Amino acid sequence: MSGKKHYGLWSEAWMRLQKMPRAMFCFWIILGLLLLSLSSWLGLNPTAYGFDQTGNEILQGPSAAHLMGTDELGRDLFARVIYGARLSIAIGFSVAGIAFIIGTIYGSIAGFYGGKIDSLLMRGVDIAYALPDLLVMILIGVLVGRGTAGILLSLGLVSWMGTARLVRAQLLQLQSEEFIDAAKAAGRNTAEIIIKHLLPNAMGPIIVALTFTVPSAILSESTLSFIGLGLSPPACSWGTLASDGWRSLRTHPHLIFFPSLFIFITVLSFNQLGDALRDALDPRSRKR
Amino acid sequence: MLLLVFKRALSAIPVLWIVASLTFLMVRIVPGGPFDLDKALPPEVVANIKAKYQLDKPVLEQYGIYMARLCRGDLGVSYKYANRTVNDILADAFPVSMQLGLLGLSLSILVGVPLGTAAALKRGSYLDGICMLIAGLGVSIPGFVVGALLIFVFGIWLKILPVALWESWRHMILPALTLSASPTAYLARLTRASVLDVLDRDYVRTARSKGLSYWQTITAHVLRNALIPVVTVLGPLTAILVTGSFVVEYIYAIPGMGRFFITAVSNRDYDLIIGTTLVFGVLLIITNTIVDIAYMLLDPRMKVEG
Repeated sequence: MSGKKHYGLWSEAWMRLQKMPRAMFCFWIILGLLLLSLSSWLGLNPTAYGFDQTGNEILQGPSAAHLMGTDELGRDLFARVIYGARLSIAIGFSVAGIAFIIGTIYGSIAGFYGGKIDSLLMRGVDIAYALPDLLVMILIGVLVGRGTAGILLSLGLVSWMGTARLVRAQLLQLQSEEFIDAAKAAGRNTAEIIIKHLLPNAMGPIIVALTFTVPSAILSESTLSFIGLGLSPPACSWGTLASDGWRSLRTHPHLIFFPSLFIFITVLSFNQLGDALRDALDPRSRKR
Repeated sequence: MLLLVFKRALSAIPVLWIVASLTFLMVRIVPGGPFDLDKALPPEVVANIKAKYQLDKPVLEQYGIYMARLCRGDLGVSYKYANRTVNDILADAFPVSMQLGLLGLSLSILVGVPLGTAAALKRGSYLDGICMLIAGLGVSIPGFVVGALLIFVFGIWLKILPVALWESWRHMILPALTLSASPTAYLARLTRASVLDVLDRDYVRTARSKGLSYWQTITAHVLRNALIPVVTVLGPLTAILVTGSFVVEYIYAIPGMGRFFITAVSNRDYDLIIGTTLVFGVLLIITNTIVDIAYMLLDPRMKVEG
């Protein structure tokens, strides 16, 4: 596969993606959420209220002044949900990044060397897979503390196994290709072969896997925060907002409804886009 | 098959030992101890309590004491629930979690597999579209949102079902539904893909051409082969159910292992944390062994390494 053909794969996938209206819809939603998160990091606020601005109008239902109502301190829920995107989206992407780095390095070593090293490393993946994620996350969270860094680390440590397996399988498959023999014959060293020749050709499935890692990280963070073992106030993510709302489900259901809705829409969009991307990158699977 | 079970049981011992040691180390490295919350206590009293639970000794000695007790099947005592041993607490909590888990598992298999099969057989129809829409929504909605929705509709709005505790069968309906939501969707998607894959195979065409009826072909050839990947995920599915039950037990105030684990972590109840983790470990090892045996029964060609 030359560089030209590689470029062809991506532009062709993009063209196929554009023919799927549902996938494109999800793509634009995700882009919007990303911009929202980015604007919050830059200190811009698209809403009329500050996320921690208290007021006298407490526990109101949705109205024209407060699109999603207010909480027990009179804070505008719409502003808080928009601000919550900052942490939730950032956590999703950072965890995918961590999973990508650990998984790619681990999987590359296993896939490139094969044999004993491979089976030893894959046993490690099996063990890591077998433990319930939430159990591991809670234990790691206890160990490193429950701030944003602790959450990132514990989520990252339960998310890399899928990528590692995938990278390994791709590398094992690509090893037998002639261009790898050629690279070896030309005297390229191991790192060069993996980074310049093997990984670029395995990128498609890895990107698809990462598209599924982002929503599962967002789900895990919100679940952890919900049961009180993840982020805690004053940190503001969709998970902590939903957790706050849970306490007043009986009297003020809007407080849990809107953060949950945003989690749901985000996760759904990523999952749908991931499905579509997988089909677009692999024409053989399109019949499914 | 007996040999497989024996081998698995043997290899489980070092795994559980590693899990116990790691958890032991983790809970003790963590800042904050089990008696930090009771700030009113004078230091002498705290020292006395620590002496009672042998927490004043060096960590290595504590580890020795713990492991010696563990070998005798004694999981230690809880610091929070005074005078209750961990064995005692888990003996009460485990059956509850087990009941909830089995209910959730059967519900998701009974709904998910037929749904996925129907969708695959009627590919491209409205039925398929609706099934896949439901499945797509099901994997994207967090467990606590499903729980909150069900509680709101059936408990608060319609007032027809209890929303907390674990007493009669009526208490089990909402938790079981909440727990099974995501695995059902997952199984439906998987079954659909698997059945579609098998439907294209040559042996299905052969079965049809030798005169087997449509339903005979589906039950004897298609389903039997299509269910192998479904059985494969029962292991990971158990992990999903365990994780789900943490949330479900928290939401519905069910006195199961997940709930005890969450409170144990918050309270730094050392022995209870390790004990619960070990029980989860044993559970996962057993499920994986069952899955491997199920493989052999479904497809005799498969050789499972011990």
